[in-house]
Amino acid sequence: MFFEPVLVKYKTYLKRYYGFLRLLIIAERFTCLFLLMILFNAYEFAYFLPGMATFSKTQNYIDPYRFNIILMAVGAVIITFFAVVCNKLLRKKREFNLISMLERNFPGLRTKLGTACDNKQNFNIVTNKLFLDVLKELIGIDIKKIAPLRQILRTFVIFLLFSGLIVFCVAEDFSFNISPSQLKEKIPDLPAGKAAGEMENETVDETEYGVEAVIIKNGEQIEMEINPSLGLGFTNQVDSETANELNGSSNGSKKGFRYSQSYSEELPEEYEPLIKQYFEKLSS
Amino acid sequence: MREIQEVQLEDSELNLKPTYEKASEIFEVIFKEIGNAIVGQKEMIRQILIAMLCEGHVLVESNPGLGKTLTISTISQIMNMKFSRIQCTPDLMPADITGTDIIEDDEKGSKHFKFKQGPVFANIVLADEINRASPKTQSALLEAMQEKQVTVANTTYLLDKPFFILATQNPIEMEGTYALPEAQLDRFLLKIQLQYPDKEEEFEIVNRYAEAFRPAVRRCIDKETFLELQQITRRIPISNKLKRYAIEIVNQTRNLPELIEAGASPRASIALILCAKANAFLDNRGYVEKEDVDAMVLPVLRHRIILSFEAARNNTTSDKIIQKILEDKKQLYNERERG
Repeated sequence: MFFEPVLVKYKTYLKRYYGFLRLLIIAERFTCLFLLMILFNAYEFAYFLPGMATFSKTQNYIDPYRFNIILMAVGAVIITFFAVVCNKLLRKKREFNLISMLERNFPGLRTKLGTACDNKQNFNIVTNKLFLDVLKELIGIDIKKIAPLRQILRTFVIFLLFSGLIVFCVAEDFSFNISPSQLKEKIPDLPAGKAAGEMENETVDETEYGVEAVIIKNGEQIEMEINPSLGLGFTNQVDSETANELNGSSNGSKKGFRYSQSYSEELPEEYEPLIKQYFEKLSS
Repeated sequence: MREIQEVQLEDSELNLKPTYEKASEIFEVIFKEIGNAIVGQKEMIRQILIAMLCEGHVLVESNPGLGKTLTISTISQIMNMKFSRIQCTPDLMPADITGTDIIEDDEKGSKHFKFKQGPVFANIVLADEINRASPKTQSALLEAMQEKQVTVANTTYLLDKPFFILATQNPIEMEGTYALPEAQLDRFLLKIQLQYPDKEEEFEIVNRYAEAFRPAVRRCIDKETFLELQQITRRIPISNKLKRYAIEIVNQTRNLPELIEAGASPRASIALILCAKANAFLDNRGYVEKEDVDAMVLPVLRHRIILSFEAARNNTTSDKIIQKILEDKKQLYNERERG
């Protein structure tokens, strides 16, 4: 029908703009998520993954800070991708309805355009005139009026703003003093998460001996990563033989534990009574 | 080249072109001429024209003296159509309407039967106070209304086109009336309810008809042109969205068992869409809008639903129920439009 080529042209034009807008929205969401991750030190979440802590310690290509930024960027990409996929799958697919869009925005075409499209196979004296009217109206409209230029501009500005903030945070090493490990303190059941640089090689099964291997002194948490049954809590030196023995014992009982250097190197003297108390509690 | 081939119209279509192009003028003149004779009652006049354009029939319910007969006789004069009037009474027989075979002597003196046409053989028939006729006589109109033909003594006679019946009835609770059978009610395209004129209109009526001067109307359209207008009406396009809207409204009358015992039939959907087309055409619009459908819902549906006992007990009228259905569907439609 004579007005169809005009509709096809408009559809192509608008689809291009809407496609670009969709891409910008995805980019905007990604930058927003990435920024939030940087501000709230979300890289710590990555260390919940098995082997990530080891990998971060062993890799020598990037410094730990940059490594954490990359981890967050990858995380943001993955989350954004899944959000887009879920959105596509869960939301009802909406056809790009050019007819209703034109009818809504150009009152001269209201009902007329839809009627002409629905009756394009029905050719008679009345529809003939209608098709010509519709064609005239369609040619006369300014399609730019309904292109989402304003939305594109707004989204682009927000995208730029977020990108600028990301650059600032990365360059200045800026983030809030809030991290997932702090959350862990608030919620005791949360599995322990450790950041790069603060990481031990393995985590301790806290309930292994029926008593939590953690003591709190003046609100500070101290982990008891030793085998209490062997009484090595205060050893500052463990020779290789003992270490083997410990590992053997560990293998035998299939309990993964190990000694810690932290007691001899870092533990202040005032903690000794507390630790004693801990083992007494265990043996009783 | 392909486009040029597509826009080629058939000769039958091209014949309608002159009439289509001057349709707005024709309607304007018709309304003006009727307005010379009838004061007010614009809605009734419009709905009668809509029914005529749709090749349908109208049932008018009103008290006496509101200008029904004058309106219809004026329309027949304007359109130069044959007009007849049937005054229905309880002793009116079917043959009084359709006509009957009578014995006639020819020139040679031999006798033979000759069919004498009844008043139904006209272009515009006014069946006055149809609910005073017996059900048997009312049914005699069925074939004429639906098939536009009459069968007498195994012979079928075609009625002239256009054929239009305007039946009037007194409010049903009046004494000495027979309620029209549902099958016959469904055959009326529209049911119009007339209201009394307001004071100003009544003043004008008195001025016109209480004087020696009687307004004259002139013929402004012929039968052939009117038949072409009827053909054009069916060609007015309607969008699928509005067709579904009309069907939803009709369908809803079947989904309210607590209020409606029997809903409207698919014939009502056809009637609603057709009337919406005629309404658009009268407005000189080459396509149907939602407002056209809305405007025709009440006259198309009000006589096609049977109220439940509960609704009747609560003094609910069919108009109120249809109005409620219409409001609900309008809201739904607008919500869908907003997306």
